[in-house]
Amino acid sequence: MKNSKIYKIMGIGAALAFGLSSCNDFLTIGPEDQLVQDTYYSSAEMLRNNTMVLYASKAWSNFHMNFQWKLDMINGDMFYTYDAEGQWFFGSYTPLNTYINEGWKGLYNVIAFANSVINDMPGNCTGTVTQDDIDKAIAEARCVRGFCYYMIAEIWHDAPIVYNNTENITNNDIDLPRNTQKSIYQFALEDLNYAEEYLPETDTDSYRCTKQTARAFRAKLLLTMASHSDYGYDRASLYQQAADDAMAVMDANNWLTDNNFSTLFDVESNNGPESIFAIQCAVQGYSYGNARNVAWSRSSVIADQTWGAGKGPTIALQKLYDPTDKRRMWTYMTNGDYYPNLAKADGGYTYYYINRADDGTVIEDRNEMNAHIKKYIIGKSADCNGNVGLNQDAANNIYLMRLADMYLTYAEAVMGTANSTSDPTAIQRYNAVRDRAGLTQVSSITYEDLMKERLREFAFESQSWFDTQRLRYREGDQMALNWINTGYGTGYNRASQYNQIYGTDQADENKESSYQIVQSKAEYAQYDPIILTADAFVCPIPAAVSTSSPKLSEDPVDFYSE
Amino acid sequence: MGNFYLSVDFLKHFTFRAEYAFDASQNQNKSYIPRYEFGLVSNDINQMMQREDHSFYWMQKDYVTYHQTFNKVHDVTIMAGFEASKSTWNGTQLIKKNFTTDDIFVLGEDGEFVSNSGWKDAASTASVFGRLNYGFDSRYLLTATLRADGSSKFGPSNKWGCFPSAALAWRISEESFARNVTWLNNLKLRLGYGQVGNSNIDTYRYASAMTTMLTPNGTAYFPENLSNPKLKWEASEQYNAGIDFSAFDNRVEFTVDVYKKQTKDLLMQVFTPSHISNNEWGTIQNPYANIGKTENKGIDVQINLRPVVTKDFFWQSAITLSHNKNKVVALNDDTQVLYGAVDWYASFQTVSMFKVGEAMGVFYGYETEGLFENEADILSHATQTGGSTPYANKIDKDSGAWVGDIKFKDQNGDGVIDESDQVVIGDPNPDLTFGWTNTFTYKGWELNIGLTGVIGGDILNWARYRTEGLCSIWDNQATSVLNRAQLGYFNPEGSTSDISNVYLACFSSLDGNGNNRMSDRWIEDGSYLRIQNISLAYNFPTKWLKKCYLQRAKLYVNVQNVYTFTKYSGYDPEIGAYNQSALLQNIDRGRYPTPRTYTLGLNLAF
Repeated sequence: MKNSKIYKIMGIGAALAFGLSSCNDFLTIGPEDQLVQDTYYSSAEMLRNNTMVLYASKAWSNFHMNFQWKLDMINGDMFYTYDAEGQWFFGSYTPLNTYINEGWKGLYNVIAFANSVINDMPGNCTGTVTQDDIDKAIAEARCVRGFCYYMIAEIWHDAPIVYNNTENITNNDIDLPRNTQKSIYQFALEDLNYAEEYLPETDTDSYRCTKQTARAFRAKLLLTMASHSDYGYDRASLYQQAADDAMAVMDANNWLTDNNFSTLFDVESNNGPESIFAIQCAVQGYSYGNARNVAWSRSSVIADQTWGAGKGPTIALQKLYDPTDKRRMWTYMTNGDYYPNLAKADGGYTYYYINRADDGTVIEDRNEMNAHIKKYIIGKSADCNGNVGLNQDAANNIYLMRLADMYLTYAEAVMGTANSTSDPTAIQRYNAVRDRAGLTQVSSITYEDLMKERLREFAFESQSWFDTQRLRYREGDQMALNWINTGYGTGYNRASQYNQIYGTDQADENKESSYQIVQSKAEYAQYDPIILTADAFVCPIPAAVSTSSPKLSEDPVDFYSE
Repeated sequence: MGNFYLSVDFLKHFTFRAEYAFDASQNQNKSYIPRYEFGLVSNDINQMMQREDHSFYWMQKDYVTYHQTFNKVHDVTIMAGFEASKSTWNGTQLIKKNFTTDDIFVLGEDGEFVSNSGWKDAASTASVFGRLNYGFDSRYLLTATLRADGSSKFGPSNKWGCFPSAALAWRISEESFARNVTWLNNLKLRLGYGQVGNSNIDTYRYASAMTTMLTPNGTAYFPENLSNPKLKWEASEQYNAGIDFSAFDNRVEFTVDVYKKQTKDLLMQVFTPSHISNNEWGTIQNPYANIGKTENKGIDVQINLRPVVTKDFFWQSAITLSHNKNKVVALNDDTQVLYGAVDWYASFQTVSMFKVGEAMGVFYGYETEGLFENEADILSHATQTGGSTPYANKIDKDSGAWVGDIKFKDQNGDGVIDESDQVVIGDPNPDLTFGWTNTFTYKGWELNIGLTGVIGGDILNWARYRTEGLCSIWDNQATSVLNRAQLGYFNPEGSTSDISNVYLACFSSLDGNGNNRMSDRWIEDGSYLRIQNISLAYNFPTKWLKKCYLQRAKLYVNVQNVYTFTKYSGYDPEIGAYNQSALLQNIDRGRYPTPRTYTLGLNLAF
């Protein structure tokens, strides 16, 4: 009797002791559906799966979905006047503008991925990883980071250089000052120099950065630095280096006219010979693809989902194109254009200002520009082998750098600080771009010619704002303001619009002669001319960021004098 | 789901008890988007999602209780034991599109693959605990507990947290001098102290897992978050004192408690400006850390009254009152502030904050000062249309400021309205919450009326930003802003019926003045009084029931959520926290209001 009691107590005691000793094992649970960082970087392939992030649509999504084409609006190329997005067209954004915050987050997000490769990967490498593998991965990251900082310097002028997020957090060093534009250029240049040194000439994955990508990015950066008359640079030398880089990239690729312009913005050209760096898009859900097919397309006649009816090329941009320019109809659509690859079920799509059904009801109404965007519009899922999804995700890549840019960069670099050039090689390259567009050849070009050619070539690719910035660095604020306030010298302010002539018969509504361009409210335009001021050239730091980081409101500091 | 236990009195004064519980769940979730055509709006792609979730939870608790009374006055209970639990969960989600037909809702061979995902994870806890109760002569009561809790959510050196508590009670009504007071039923004073741990975070946050990202070139990997091996238990430390009182045959009862609770080592995700990390999905997020300390102080009062107790008529009334005041006492770096934000597409980039010295989740933004009345008014006001030049408002109907736009207060007087002019503009925490229930019975009839309410507690009516912002061409607008856009005439003398002479006088969706910024314009008082329920029941007399072989029959009508008295303009002032975040409380994003329900019922017992 007594013994059995003791056994009972011992039994319970043993159970308790067993419970305690096995507790720490019981309480150790690692992820079963994920790899862990400590053991992840174990082979060259794993490193490449990590750097793959740097190209992915998802990584760039805040930037390319919610920011990028605001640059085409502020430059006066893309007409759109509604809500916070419309503020960009008016150049009247305040730090509260949500798209500024999206652009900021978007670019710094890519930088954070790059910094993770640069700082956190090397120390965690195990297994078969070699120093070469590490250097190459870092070079890819620095190539992308360098170009991100170039864009940041052009959009915000002065901004913080974040180069080690992990250190910022572990040291609680999170209230960073802005760094000067000049020091951001220097930082970006160091990144691209490193990338050019360690990246391979070619890569089996056509989308990845190679020496050519680093050179192309560097050519653009050097060209921008060389345009600065205010930083005490040896401009001639910078122009020369930019020209050398651009030439090296052209030499490593096929001749420009081999690449057909009309299909450059379709899925079939993804990572093709024209592509030097592109955000990698797919039909994989919201933020995994190109949103332009939804955001820019005119109507549900040509797209499964759409809210682009109010967007279009400004009249000034339209006026830049010669009627024979083959790029025009692949850049924007207007009356009479026929696209066999859109609305295939209806036998293709013909654009009319106003498109009516047989019973006279309006299927597609006109916008103020009498035109809509075509670039990057690939239509309905059924028209493009399912390359358009339901979640603003189309599979055509978004270029950040393509071959034609090197042709025109070369010409601009050779022209240097002069206002024109007739250098044979520069003209040859410039003419290659015109040749592909079916335009006549020229024997000399001015800086203005070049700027206009760039607009025609890269309209809606969010490049023209950076071009205007270079113009500004060269010629000063006033010249740059004249450029964008007069519609690149065409005399058509961005607020110009088409009005139907009073009393037009419905039968004549699709005739060009039924419309007139009006430029002010007195002429019954919606807006008076929109005159941007020099304030518009520098995008404000988003309020969400400066609220939480007061040092951003102080004067910028030179990164290298810290 | 199940619970069971085993209890053994294995020795005199000793009881062993083992408790077991388990819960298994299997869920299947499907959604289908068909092809459709509504006039000009059409959708040509159908899509189906199917998701399966499986989870299993078990808990086991074993403890021994020893209870003995010595010399009739020393009442001792000692309890010790341990418990362990584990949850596991896993699931799969699959999406396909472009099905041949819109009539079959099964993921068969038809359709094209879009994406899939899968997950599997687990969490476990273990605890060792002990409790001592000592009562002396039913007058002095002492309770002390100690528990060690372990959780799989923390790293090897921080799995365990230790949490003691102690409580003292004095039943004054049991004292000899009070026993003669016949009207007094119970009078008890209580004092308490206790710590409670919290480990409510995601798994494996102390280290860094690699997460995946879909790309057209294959699956990319990146660290989900930066690691923090120092992550440990959050602990709340509470002091409280209370009185229980009842008298007059328990017809008057009240309980009063005052407390002070400090929560330290708060488990939160580190907040940084977005150029370091923005903590969004698909980015390398900041680690979780034990950040700062918050404090809650308050008083709870519960009063139960039975004013009328007669043979036929009976009235019972219960009142509860709670007042709580909270504030952030410390953050890791006391100058640092944590901000809360809502959707990216709003011009609301920060709406609330955690700041040392302020209540938790106070609303943060601009203070309004009326409307611009004329040109001089706009020109003399601090710049709020962009740029950093003082007193230089851009006057422009479309892209600048105009008569009728909102003036914001220049808090620092520098002539520019910018983020440094933001101040605390509201507090979502209520000053007082209360409830009052009444039961009246008269013979077979029974009437219940319950009231609840809140005094104080501001609400950010975010839905109004959408419906009154006049800013998005995608949102319908409320009739309350019908008068904001008016027709103007190019030629004031001209025809008002000639369409070419008409324009919209002041409507611009651009909001160049920032009318829609986060300001007290959207903050409303969330006080309310709600008639929570009214029910009327009739119990049929027993003599009728016997004939029908019934023991009991009750017919009742019940109305829930009868009426709410409030000045709040949204659907329902009872909002709560968004994503369970203390940082995002009382933000009304058009929350679906509590419905009013009517119930008519009959209860029969045979």
